[in-house]
Amino acid sequence: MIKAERKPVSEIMKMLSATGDCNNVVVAGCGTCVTICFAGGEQEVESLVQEVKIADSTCGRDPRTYTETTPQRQCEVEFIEPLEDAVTGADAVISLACGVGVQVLAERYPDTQVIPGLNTTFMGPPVKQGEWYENCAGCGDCVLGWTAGVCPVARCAKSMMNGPCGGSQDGKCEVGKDIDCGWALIVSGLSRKGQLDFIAKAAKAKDWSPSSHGGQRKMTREDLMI
Amino acid sequence: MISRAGQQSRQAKAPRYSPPCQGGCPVHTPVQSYVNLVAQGRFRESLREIMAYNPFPSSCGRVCFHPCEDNCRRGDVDSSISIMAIKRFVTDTVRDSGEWVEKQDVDATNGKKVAVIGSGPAGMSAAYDLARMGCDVTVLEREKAAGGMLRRGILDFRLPQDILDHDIDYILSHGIDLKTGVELVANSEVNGDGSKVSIDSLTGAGYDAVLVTVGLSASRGLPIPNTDAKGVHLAVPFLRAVNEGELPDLGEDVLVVGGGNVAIDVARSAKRVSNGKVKMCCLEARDEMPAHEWEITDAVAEGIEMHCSRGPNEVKMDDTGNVTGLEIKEVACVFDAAGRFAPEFHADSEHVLECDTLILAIGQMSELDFCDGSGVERNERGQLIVDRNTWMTTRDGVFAGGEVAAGPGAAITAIAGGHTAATEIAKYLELDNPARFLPPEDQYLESLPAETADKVRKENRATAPQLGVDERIVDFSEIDLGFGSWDAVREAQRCMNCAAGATVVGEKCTSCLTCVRACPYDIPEISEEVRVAQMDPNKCQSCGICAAECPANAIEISMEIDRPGLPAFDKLEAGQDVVGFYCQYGRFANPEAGLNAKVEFEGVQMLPVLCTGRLEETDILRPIVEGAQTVFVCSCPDVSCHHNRGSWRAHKRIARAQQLLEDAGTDRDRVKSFVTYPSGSGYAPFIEELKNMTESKVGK
Repeated sequence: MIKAERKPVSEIMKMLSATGDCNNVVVAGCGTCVTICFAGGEQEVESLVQEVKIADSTCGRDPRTYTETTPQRQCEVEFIEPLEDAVTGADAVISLACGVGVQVLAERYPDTQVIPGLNTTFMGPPVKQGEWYENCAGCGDCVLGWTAGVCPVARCAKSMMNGPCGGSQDGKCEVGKDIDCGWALIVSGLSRKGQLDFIAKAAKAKDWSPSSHGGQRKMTREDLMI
Repeated sequence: MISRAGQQSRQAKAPRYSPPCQGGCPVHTPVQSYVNLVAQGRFRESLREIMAYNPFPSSCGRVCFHPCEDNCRRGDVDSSISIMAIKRFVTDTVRDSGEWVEKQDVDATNGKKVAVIGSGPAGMSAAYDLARMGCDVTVLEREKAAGGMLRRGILDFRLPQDILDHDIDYILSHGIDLKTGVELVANSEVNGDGSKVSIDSLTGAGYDAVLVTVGLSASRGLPIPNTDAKGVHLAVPFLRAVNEGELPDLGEDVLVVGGGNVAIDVARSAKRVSNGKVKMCCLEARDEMPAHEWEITDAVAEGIEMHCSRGPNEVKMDDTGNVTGLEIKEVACVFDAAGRFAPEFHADSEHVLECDTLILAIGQMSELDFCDGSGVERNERGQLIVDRNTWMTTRDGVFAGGEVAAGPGAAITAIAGGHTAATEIAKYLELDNPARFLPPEDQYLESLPAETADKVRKENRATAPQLGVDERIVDFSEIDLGFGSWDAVREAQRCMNCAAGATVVGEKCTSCLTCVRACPYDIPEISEEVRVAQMDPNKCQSCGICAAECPANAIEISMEIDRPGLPAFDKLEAGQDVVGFYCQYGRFANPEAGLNAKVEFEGVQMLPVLCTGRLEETDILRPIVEGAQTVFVCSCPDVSCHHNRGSWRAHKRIARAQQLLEDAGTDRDRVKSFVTYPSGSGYAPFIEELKNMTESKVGK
């Protein structure tokens, strides 16, 4: 799932101040991905409002009015349409959604200032409660079947497609000692399965056009259109 | 997670289940609720909770057979909570304070007159309910004082008379007229001075309904030879004589026949008024005796001999007609294969148990001569014919309740019978106000599954001290000495809050697994079939940790932690700028600690929490948002946390709240954390720091 983390409140306050005299603020969470990673769920919405209030109080600002809401998903227009009255009547919306949700909100309500409250970080699973890691870069051309289920695009700092670079030492990446070398994992995984020959298949020239290098990506399924 | 007014999504739902302690109680006393109030040091509120259901709390705190304890799920973990002793503690403490709880609400007079015959637990409970419904209630009692078998059948060493008086006085204070020395008789025996009344004379005097609760006031005899020998007594007259100080000469060797609770009471009473040996014989084997196990144990401890599996055959007497013993036969079995009473004896097993006094305590029956010519009919076995749905006899408007209608039972069962009879009388009288006693419709939890019980912290059961055996048997001094306040509080804190746990708001749950990972008892599940979290109410320990962790605020806790007088933070009162959350399971519930919910420091709002593991960082920061200068959280040490790692989680959230404060540009030390041990350690530094907080406010 998409992971995100809260921006520092100081950065959010800076954007609020730049917007003008925002006295009526909507804080909108998102009830799916960013709820699960403790960045933008109902609990975090409440927490951010408290923090902004304390920050305002600390610097002597008059209290603002806040509307708290957490639709199931900000990335679907149908879920944010019920927010219309609140959003259009607000001086600003702080969106605690991933970048997808922030943009859908901004596009749906172009006359309202939408401020991102999160930094969208990556796609990945939790290692354990409170710890997540990236394992998919959304490259549009999945090779996991040739790489022992370890993504060379997301888990190699250089997105190498044909084996580890010279910076791989003792299974770790030269970028940081706490980062596993993706290719060391691929090699050990394929060795365990007796599939080392798969490397040659993974290593053929990768088509990067389905990735972001081809400009904004779109998907179409004619059969689903209504 | 703490619920707050005005936040619909946070409000607790009514529990779908009730704890089995409540289900086990014949009057469905909300045991968990009143035990928890004791756990918080809120004794008067606890007593009010009890008295909404049970008008004999002081008496039941001493003599109840406490089925609540038999149903207590603490017993699945280690041993059940000493609920009866806690109830007694509450009643004693409030009574000793000199100010008993105020009267219950009484509805406006409805003009209906009801006569209640008999002032035992059933009659007085019915009178209590009917009076509160606005009826004009008169209780008629044959004896000199009210109380029925609670007074005549239970001696002071178990239930002192003044304690019973206290319960009765409270009941009567609701506008009930008690007339003692008035006997219910057949029409032919009614006299003019009002001391003998009949059903007809009562209805003729304008009573709209009559409730007969005359109990089982007469002892049964034995159909064996020579029961008319001198020195042979029946249990009820014997107990009454002892109770009234008219001590019969018992000689030096007393034999009591019977194996029930009354027989035990008779034997123990005889032990206190005789100079020698007291023994009992009964048909049943030791493990079949109908008396409660703890009663038997106490009797044996007091030196009473048990001769079990012995059936009486003939009373032996000397030439002067004085009893000398009881010939008995050895019992082969008491019950047949279908479980019916059908004793069989070993052949040629007759032998004599010698005695100077023989007391028969083999059962009791009602005295129903008043039925003659009244239209109140008896069945072929001589028992009242009563409709078990309406509790009306064969005469319109005449009801029966308690043991006379339902057969022998405990005091609390009679109280339940009184409540039910009152409800039915209210229907008969077409009263438009709701009945005072309606049992809850909830389902009751089953026993705690072993895999959960294994994870619950073990805590030894406390029992109240008793007089030593040598001290007991010299007089009728009360044996049980009762809990001290801290013992009572600690024992109440063992309550596991069954059925007060987590429920999931399905539409908000994101199936994020946080609750599954966070629960210290491994209870939440997300199944393939229902793809949102589910908490088995049979297992949930109501710690609230999952609700505090849930990022979607999708979990609600049924435990009513925002009861009146026990609020979550709402707003700062004038002059307050320090707010403190403290664990109710810790030092603060101790009334001797000098600081509980009632004690206030200037400028400090103290808020109790059932384990600080329930606090979210938003709960901690809310007072600061509302203008508090400082918030502190007093947790228990991890080693004594009532829940697994509740305090540990609280410390994490405190740290997070401090970080958020710092990020917001203010002093992180505006949130403070303290650990206070139930033993008192850590308490003095906390108080010192608290003084500093309040002094710093003064200096501002």
